[in-house]
Amino acid sequence: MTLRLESTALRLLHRVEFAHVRFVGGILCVLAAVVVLALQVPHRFEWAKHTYDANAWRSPARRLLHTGETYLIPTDFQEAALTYVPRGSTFAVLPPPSPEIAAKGYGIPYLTLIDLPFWLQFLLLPSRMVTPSKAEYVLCFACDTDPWSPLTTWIWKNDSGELIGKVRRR
Amino acid sequence: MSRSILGVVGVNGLFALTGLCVLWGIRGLRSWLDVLEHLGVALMLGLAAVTVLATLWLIGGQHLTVWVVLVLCAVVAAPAVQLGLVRRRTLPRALGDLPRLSSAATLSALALFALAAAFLGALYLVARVNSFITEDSFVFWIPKAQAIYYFGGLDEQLFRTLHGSSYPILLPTLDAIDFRFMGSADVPNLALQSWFLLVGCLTSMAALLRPLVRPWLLWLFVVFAAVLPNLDYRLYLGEADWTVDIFFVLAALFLVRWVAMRERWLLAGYGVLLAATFAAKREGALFVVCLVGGALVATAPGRRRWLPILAVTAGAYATSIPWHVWWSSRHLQPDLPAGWRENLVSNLSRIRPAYAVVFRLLFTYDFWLVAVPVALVAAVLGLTLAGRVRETAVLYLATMVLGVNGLMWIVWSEPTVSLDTHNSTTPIPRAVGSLVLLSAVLAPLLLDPLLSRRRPAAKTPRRPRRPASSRLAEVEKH
Repeated sequence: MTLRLESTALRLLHRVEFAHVRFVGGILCVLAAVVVLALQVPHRFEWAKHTYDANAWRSPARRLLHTGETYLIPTDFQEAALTYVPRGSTFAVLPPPSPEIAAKGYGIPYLTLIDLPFWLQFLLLPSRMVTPSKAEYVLCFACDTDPWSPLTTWIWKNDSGELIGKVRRR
Repeated sequence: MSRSILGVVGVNGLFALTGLCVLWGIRGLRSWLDVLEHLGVALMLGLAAVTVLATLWLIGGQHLTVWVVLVLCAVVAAPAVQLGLVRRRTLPRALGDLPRLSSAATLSALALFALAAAFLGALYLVARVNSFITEDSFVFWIPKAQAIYYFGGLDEQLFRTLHGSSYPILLPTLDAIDFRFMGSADVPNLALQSWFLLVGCLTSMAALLRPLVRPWLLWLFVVFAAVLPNLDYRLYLGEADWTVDIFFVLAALFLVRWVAMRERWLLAGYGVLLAATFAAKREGALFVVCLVGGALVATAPGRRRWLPILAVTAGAYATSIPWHVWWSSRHLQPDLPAGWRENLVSNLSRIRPAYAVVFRLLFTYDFWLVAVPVALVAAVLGLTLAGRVRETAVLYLATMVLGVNGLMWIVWSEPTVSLDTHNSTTPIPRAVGSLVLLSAVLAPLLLDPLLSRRRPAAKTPRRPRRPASSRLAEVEKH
């Protein structure tokens, strides 16, 4: 029985030409693509609609700030930075004294601290980010304000420990 | 429509017009339908040529203004128009042949075309409200563009402080050109430029492959490429990954069609897109090596085609040398990881997991559906044919083999690259996009000849009606 099956299979194999294998293979590939598309296209349209709906309510300004919000940089702090730091000025970012204080005292995650200066540099260009000693403006993000208060006029602050100050002549 | 949107639309219209002049000069435009069909190719040629020239202009220490962009467009278009005049090209006068709507195949192609257009329309709406960019984008890609826009050129003071200071500058230059035409550094609306790149890529795919592939199959894979989940997810994030992938894939398309059809204008297109690939991202050079290696293997028996391929590749590479001179003369952070040679020896244990990472990502359905498996199966089956079909299959497979090894090398040589496949911890999910898009774009070309081979030759007394692909591919059976 087994021998007969094997010989039948071999005879069939001999009859099969490469052209048939190629054709069947090609058809299967096309079918695979069609099936995947049939399953996927509705999802992709849904994804596009969901993404549109999730973002369409934002004003152009809020669209700019949204990435910063995802890094937990408060919206009011970003808006104030755009308002109070004049274009073309120099500024410095003053971080919290330590990541532990940031986390325990203000609930600021470490990743936010890493990305904060880069984000503010991007947001405030053409103002240039410089070292604190050369800055005309300082952006205090839960920082220790004591060393800066004698030198700085605080022009904006919120309840979460963020301040913006204009540095007086040193 | 806001000034920003008008600006992006306007500058892309300008690129397309420049590209049409180039196409008219190097190829000719036979009818208005021919013009319409090649608008995507024109956009990508114009965009790539003008932006590469703009990078050289910036490297030369010059400022980039709207007028400079207009002059650069003229600099690209003028020699092409001159060439067209010398070759006595005529302007298109006739409308051209409209497709007949009687056959099921044509209607299927039209339905798939409509589906692609609808999805691209949906992606346009997503681009209009895009609100998110990634860390790399706000850390260095977009600040470089802002610096070019605000300070006029390559601001050394800022570049020196940014991460990836030696990374190629095509994307920041393109973004800065957009800012100029927008009238402000309107970052969220840069997503529209990415949308134009995708549309240009997919319509170029359709135009370049149409003489070789039956329309319904072609548009099936245009839709397939458009709905790749990770492409859609990453398209508007402001990174250079999809930009380099798109240029690389278009360069590959020009090259593959040149290998098949040997029309000279295709080599010109290949050169322009290759120059843009070099200028877009440092991985671009790696992808080019893989592509050229694949082309050399595919055309090895004759070797007569090696010289044009290598000459055009060398010419395209030459356009990237000034940037290398610029950053190395200023001692900026090099574009390769520090100590990568030593890392190769000390990280031999990473080879196997590195391969595993690359393969796992290439075949992740949630990212890329089945683009790679389909193209691989089609290519392997294509190896059993002779002539140009086999050449295309060999070119694709060799490029993939080299590409997988190249990506493995990145993971192997850079110990900070994580060996897991999570999006946020390794750049490889982005990098494999180039090979996936290449697979999706070449799949219809690899599949078409397989669908033509059903009829046994001995039992066909009269000459079978052959599809367009067979006419051109000169497929021979073993």
